Amino acid sequence: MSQEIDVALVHVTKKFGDLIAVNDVSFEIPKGSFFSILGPSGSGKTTLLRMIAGFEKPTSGDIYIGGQRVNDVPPNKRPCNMVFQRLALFPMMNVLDNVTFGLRRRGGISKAEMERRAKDALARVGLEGLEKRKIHQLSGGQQQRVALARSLVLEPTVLLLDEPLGSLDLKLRQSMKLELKHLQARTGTTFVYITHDQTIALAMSDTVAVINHGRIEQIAPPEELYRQPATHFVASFVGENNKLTNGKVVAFRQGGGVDVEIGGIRMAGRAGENLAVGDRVDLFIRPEMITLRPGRHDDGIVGKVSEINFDGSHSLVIVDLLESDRPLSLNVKVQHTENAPDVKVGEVVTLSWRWDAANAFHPVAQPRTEAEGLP
Amino acid sequence: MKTLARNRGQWVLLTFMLLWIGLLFVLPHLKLFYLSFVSRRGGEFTLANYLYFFHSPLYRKIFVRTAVFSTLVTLLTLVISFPVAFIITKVAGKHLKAMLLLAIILPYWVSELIQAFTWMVFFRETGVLSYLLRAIGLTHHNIEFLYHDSTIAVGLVYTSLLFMTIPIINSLDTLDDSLIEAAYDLGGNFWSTLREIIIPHAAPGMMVGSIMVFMLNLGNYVTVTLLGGKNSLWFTEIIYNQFIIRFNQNKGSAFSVILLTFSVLFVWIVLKITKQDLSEAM
Amino acid sequence: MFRQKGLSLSKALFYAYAILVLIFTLGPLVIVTILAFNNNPSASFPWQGFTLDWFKASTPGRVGFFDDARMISAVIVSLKVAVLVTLISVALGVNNAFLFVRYKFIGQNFLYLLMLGPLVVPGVVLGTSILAFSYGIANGLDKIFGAGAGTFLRPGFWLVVAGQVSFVATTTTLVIVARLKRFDPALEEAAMDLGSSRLEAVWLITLRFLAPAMIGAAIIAFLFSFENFNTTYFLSGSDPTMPILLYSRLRFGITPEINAVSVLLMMVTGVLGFLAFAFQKDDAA
Repeated sequence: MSQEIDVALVHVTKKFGDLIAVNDVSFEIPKGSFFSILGPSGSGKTTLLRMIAGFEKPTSGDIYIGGQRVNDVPPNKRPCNMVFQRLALFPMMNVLDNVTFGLRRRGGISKAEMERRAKDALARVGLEGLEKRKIHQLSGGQQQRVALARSLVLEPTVLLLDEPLGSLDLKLRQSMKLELKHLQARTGTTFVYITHDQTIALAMSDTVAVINHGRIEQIAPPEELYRQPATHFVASFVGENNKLTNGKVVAFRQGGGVDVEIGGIRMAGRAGENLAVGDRVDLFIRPEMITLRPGRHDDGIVGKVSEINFDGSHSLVIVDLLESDRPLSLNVKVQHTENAPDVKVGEVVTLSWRWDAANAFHPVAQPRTEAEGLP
Repeated sequence: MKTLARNRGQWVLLTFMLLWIGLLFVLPHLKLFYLSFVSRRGGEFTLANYLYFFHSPLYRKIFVRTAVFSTLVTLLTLVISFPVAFIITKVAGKHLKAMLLLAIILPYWVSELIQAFTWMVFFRETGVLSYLLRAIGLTHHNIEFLYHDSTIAVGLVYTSLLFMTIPIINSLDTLDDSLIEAAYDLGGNFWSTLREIIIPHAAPGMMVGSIMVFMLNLGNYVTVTLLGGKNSLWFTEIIYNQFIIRFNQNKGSAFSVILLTFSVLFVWIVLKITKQDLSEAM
Repeated sequence: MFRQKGLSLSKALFYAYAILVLIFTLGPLVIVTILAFNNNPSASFPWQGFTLDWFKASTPGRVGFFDDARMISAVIVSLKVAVLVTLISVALGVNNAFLFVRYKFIGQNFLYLLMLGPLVVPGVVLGTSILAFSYGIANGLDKIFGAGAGTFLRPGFWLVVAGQVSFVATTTTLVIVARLKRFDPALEEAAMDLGSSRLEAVWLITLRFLAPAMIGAAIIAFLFSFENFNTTYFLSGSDPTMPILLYSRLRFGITPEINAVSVLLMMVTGVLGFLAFAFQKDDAA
């Protein structure tokens, strides 16, 4: 079964003067999927989205929407609509006029029909009965919904979302996050969502593209992204991670694993990229993937609890390694389940993890700063 | 394609802007400058138009008088306006505040000409002041109060009030009331608080107001000629005389350039001394 | 701290001062208003009974404002000038606002300072410079195209309009720039995203957003133009505007009719001023 592709970027590059904002990016977004572009600020993700929307033109490369090359199609003629970061609702119009704005531009639709479609779209986002309200009379969450309805009413092939949840407070963001996902599932519209907030990207997306310095680092479903990061950047950017530096590959294991020596201790990990014995590496270990047992055991790494931070459903335990030749410590997330180990500060514990829960990468030079401060 | 459209838009806007500022401001002033350096007949380069001014004791006197008079009126306006601004921002309740604001804005709305006219009605020989003085028996015949320097000063202060008060209000508005209270709390009295807290905070507004008022006084025409009559001896009047009565555009231009140079220089020096920015000040 | 209840000495002094200021600023306006209805041909006190003659009368020796043909024609000239100046200045204001807010170019700061110039230069100097400049061009046109070709650049209606636009446009620009700076350009992009062309987006969204500022600027422009004396004085010809006519009459003496004119002016400009104020306030909201 071949998947239909809604958006395709082919070797797209965008330069602003000497600055390369987007560097040779290619990907395909299947129809009806929720696709996120995740990256820190200045990574080029906004430029990428604005090129899909038509507000910027690629310096080189091609953009296809619904199979058609749209490089020279102005934004008002593209079958995609955008939900803006600051929403960009028209303050001088009421809710209904905002939602019907796009329909009015199309023409050929009766007033009653426009109103019917607008009300339908508003109902879909849960905003019945607020048609006559002014924008400034709405709460942040309601404004969010109006912005969604304003775009969805046009039944776009692709809906572009420029981090619209960023301005909401945490609680509202959590609930909108789920709603957005449900909305996407219901409408079947392709969503392209850009964000710097990995929790949003992981929770909502079918596929996440991680972008840094204008380059795509990895495109994968959230779980794969989390468990098997493809690059050093993805490992350090996505999710919490212990990062142990200055390791050295000493041996290979079966199935793509490596043994790494860090501070005189041998640790297991997955080779995130092509490694050779003797290579210098950094090792990333998820805090929740580490098993902590009280007491000293032979089949693990021995350490001493130096700090315990209670955090509701779990505690973050900081363990100083006892057998390393330089000070090293690991953060361990201990879930508060029935049989959770009961440890105290100062106690000796043993840490262990499955080899494929850790990832080893060559260390990278400090990030270049060329793409900083982009719109 | 879009970049091109953007640039085309910019060029259109720039063209209109330049047509306006060029034809109605820059070129006229260049012409004024040019005329002031050429002779009336023949049109060759000359400094005679300026020398005429510097050699004439009367014109020099008028110029100095205009500058000194403007300065004094500016100071007077500052002294009168400061308490008004202070009352509006820190003392008055809602109603008095609105009333005072209206009272300083209303005269401005009815135009400078009407302002001067109302004072003529008040000060002239058969005017309201004369009538009042006779009515209470202080005098038995009409007195002409018009055409005195003090009358001109009243008229100028009246037209200047708004331009001084509003900038001071703006700077006092940003002064936190708790700062004044803290000063009292720390043992200050009204005068020390005024000197050490309030006036330093209001200084930028006072400066902007003073510059505007000084410029307006220097360039004033209608108030001084109506209230001062033949005794006004204001510099703008001799510009008018040269241009319109004597039809000597070259001398008139020289006088205009002198006035302009003086006021621009004045503003520039004040801004330099106080380290303020013109576009910010406005 | 001065707003606390109770009466202290300093508070009493402040209130006394406030009352003096009110008398000083409003007193003259009140006097003129009373005299406009005083049946005393000397345009002064004592009170000799109520009359509307100074507004409407055409007996020998008593001409009311509405029956004073020269006055009425001057008002019409002023209105024509003001309407033209308002339209041109608001259009220029929008033009300049877009130029200064939406674009960045070399020399922009210098141009902005230059734009403030007409506000800083004394009105008299502005008037003389435009007079001198147009005089030269008019002479040139006469020479090339024959006598009369440059007449529209000689003192008169069109020169008054030009002279007033030179400084009124600065004011309208400042008012409209202030509002455009608060406009989020993403709104325009949103309109384009929803199917508008660029010009449609500007027309439907940006200009709608600027409307309160444009109306406010228009009222201010109208007031400035209608009341202007200093610049206009040098540029008006045989068809004077109302302030010029009033001024020339005042030099010969005061008539009760001028009181009546003042009252009418106060009413009209008062209302316009309030409107401008209201729109500015709305603008700030």
